[in-house]
Amino acid sequence: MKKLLVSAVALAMLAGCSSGGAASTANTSGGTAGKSVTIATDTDILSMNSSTSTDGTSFIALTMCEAGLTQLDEKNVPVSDLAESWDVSSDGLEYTFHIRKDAKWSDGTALTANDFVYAWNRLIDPETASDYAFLIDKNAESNTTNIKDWTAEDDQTFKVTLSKPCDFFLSLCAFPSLFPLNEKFVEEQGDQYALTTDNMLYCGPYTLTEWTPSTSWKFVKNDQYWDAASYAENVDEANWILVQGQSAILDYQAGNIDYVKLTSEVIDDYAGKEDVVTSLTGYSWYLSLNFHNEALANNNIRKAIAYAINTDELCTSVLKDGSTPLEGIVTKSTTANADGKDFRSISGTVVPGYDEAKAKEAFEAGCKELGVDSVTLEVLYEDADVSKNCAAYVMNALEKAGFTTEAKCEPKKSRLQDMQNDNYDVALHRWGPDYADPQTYMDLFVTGASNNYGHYESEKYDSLIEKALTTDATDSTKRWEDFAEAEKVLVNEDTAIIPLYQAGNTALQNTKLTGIQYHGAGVDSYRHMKLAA
Amino acid sequence: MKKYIGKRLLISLATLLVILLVLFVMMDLMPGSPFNDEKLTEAQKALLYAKYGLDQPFLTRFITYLKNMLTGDFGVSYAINKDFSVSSMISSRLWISVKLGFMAMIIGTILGLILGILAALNHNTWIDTLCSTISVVGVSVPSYVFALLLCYFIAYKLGLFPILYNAAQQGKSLVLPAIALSFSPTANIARFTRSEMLDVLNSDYILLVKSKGLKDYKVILKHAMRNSLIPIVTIMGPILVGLLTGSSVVEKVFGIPGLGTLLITAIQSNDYNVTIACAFVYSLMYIVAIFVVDVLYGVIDPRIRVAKEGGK
Repeated sequence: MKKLLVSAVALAMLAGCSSGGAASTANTSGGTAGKSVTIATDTDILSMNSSTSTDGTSFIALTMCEAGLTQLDEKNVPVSDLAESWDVSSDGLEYTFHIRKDAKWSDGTALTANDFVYAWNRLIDPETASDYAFLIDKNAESNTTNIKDWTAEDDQTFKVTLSKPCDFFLSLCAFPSLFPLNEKFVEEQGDQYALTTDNMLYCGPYTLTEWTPSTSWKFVKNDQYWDAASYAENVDEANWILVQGQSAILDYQAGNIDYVKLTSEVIDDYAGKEDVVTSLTGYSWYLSLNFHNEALANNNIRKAIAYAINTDELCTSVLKDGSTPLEGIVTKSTTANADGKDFRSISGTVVPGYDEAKAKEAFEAGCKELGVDSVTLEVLYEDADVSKNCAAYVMNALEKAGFTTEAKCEPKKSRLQDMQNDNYDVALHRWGPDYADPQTYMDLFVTGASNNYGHYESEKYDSLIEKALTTDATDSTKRWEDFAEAEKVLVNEDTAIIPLYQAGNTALQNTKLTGIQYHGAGVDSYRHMKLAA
Repeated sequence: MKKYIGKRLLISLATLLVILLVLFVMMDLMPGSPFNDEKLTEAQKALLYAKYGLDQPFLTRFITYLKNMLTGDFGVSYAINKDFSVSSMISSRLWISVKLGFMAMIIGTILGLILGILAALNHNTWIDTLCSTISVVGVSVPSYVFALLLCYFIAYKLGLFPILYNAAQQGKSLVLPAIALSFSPTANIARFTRSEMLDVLNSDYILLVKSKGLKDYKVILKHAMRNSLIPIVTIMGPILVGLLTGSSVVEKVFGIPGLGTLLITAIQSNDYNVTIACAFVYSLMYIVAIFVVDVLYGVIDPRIRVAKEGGK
C-alpha cells in the first residue's frame, strides 16, 4: 500500500513538473513587447452573436472584429465604415447607403447589401428574441428609429426608409446589433454560430483568433478589412484577459498588462501618477422611487430625498473613480446634436441640489401632509461593491434628513425582478444609453413604459415627449428643447427620480498606449490602439 | 467486501438523485430569472422560456434534465456564455480545479506528514512547539492572505512565477496558488499526524518492538507510521474535496478560470443549468470521496474488512 501511495505521489509530481517544463518553452514574451497589448477586464464575453449580444465587453469585442455601415470617431460623430457614403433625402426619411466594393468577409467573399438585410431581419425575428430588436422592429407598433423598411437595391446599395426623421440614425448604424451577417455562413453554422472562433466570419479590422471563455481572447489584424492599409501602424495583437483586483494591478506594474481598471479602494494610492487615466461612461445612476408607496407619492417627501443627498461628496469621497454628479437624468458628453452641442449644455443643471436645511423642511412638510411622524423606506441595491458603498452613503444621508431606512441587497437580476414586481420603495438603479440622443433616457419615464418601474405618471411630461417625437420630430432644436423641458419636470418639479452620478472609470494605462476611444453612448472603441516604441 | 461496496454504491447513487432533486427545487424557488433583462418585452421572454423548455411543469423539466444528464448533456448556458454547452464549460474548468486541488493536496500531505512526525518524535521540545505554531497559523489564516503574500513577494518582487494564471504556462501558473491552498491541509494533517503518532508511540506494541531491539527508524517507519496513517487517510478525502470546492477565493486572486468562480457567477446571473451542474459536480466529488475513503478503510486496515465480512 505504502509503495502504491509513494508511486502515485511521484507520478503526480512528475506530471506537474513536465507540464511546467513544456509550458516554459512556450512562454511568450511579455504583453508590452512588440506590437501587442494586453487589456485586463473584469467581465467576460457573454456572446459574440451580434443579434443577441447585450453586454459591454461583448460589444467591444464585436467592434474589434466586425464593422457596421458607420463607425464613431473620437468626437462621437458617425463616419464611413462599410458604407463608403450615403445619401439622405431632404425630408430625412430615406437613407441610401453605398456599400464599399472592396468590403469583404475574412474568408474573402464579398460583403453585400444583402448581408445587412439578413442581419436586420434576423435581429427583429421574434425567434431571435433580441434585447435590441426594439431599435428597428418595423413590425412592432413603434420602434426607436421610426424605421419602416430596408431593402438591398443591388449588391452595393442598401436603402432604408423611415416614417419619421431620426436624428441619431447614422450613429446607431455603428452599433453592433446592426452589424451585417453573412447569410450563407450563419445558416450553415446553425445554433453553433459564434460559439467558437471557427464558427465566425469577420468584417472588421481584426479577427478573433483565440477565445477561451472566462479566461482570455485575442485579436490579430484582418488583412481582408477594406481599410487594412491605414491600420498598418496599429497594434498587431490585442489580448484581453479576465482578471480583477490587486493581482491584476500587480501584473500591470510588472509590465505584463497595458490597461487595468482601478477600484475605489486603491485609487488613492495612485493619485497623481502619470499613467492614471479617467473617463466618463454614459451610465446614469439614479434612485428610482416607487409611487405606489404612500409616502413616496408625496412630492415633499421625494424633494426631501433629493435635497438630502450630497452627490458631490458621494463622487469625491465615496466612489472616487472619476464618477461625476448628474445634473439631470441625461449624462454629459454622451449626446451631440447636428452642431456638435452636448444636450447638457442646452438643458443646464436641473437637479434640486444638496441642501440639508431644505431636506429637513421638506421632510417635515411631507410628514405633516401625510399625517405621520416617521417615514421608513427600504433601499434596494445590488451586491456590487460600488452599489453597496453608494447605498450606504444614501441611507446615511436619508437618516440625517429624518427618514428611517432599511437595506435590501440582492444580486442584480433579483433586484430587477423586485422592481418589475413592484416590490420596492427606493432602488439604486442605472441606465446606459443605447444611442446618442436624450430620448434613450427620456423614454423610460413615460406613463406605462415597461422600464418605468416607479409608475410615475405625468400628463405634462408625456405630452412634452409626445411633442418631441411628433410635431417637433423634424426640428432638432425644438425637439431637444422639449426634452430639456421634460427633464426639468421629471427631475425638478416632480422629483420623480433622484439622479445621483454619471459613472466614471479610472484605470492604469501604459503611457505608450494610445487610441482607446470612449463613447458615452455606443461602444468604446479599441480598434485604433497604437503602441509607441 | 463486494456486497459492502455494492451497498455503498447504491446509497451513493440514491444520495445523488436526492441532491439533484433538491437542487432543482431550490433553483425553482430562487427569485429572478435568467431572462430578467430590462430591454426584453414580455413576448420575447415568453419565447425564450419556451425555447429553453422553462415553460414546462416542474416534473417534466426534472425528468427531461435527468434523461439528458445521463447522456452527459447538462443543457446550455442562458446567461454566462449564451448557448454554450454546460458540459464543455464545466469540463475545461473542472480539469484546472482538479489539477490545482491535487497539487495543493500533495504539497500539503508531504509537508503535513513531515511536520507531524517531527513534532511527535520531538515531543515537548522546541521543534514540537515550532511545528505546532506553524500548524496553528496554517489553520487560522485564510488562504487568500497567503495567496496575496505569495503573489506580492514571490511573483511580483522576485518574479519567479507568473502573477496571473496563463494558459500557455499552466504548470508554472498553478504553483503559487497550490502553495497558497496547501497551508490549510498541511496544518490539518500535521496536527492529526502528531496526535496519532503520539498515541501509537505510547502504545504497548511499540514498547514491545523496541524491547525486541529493533532499530529506531524501523520502529517508526514499519510500525508507528503505518498504524498512524490509517486515520489520516480518512481525513484526506474530505480535505481534498474541501480543496476542490473551496478554492474560489484563491482562484480569484490568481485569475484562474476554475469551477468555483463559475458557480458564483452562475448563481448571480440565475443561470440555472450552470448552477445545477456545478453544484452537482461538487456533490459528486464529496460522495465519491466518502465512498473511496470507506473502501480504503477496508483495504488499509484488515480488521475493518474482516469485521465487515464477518458481520454479513
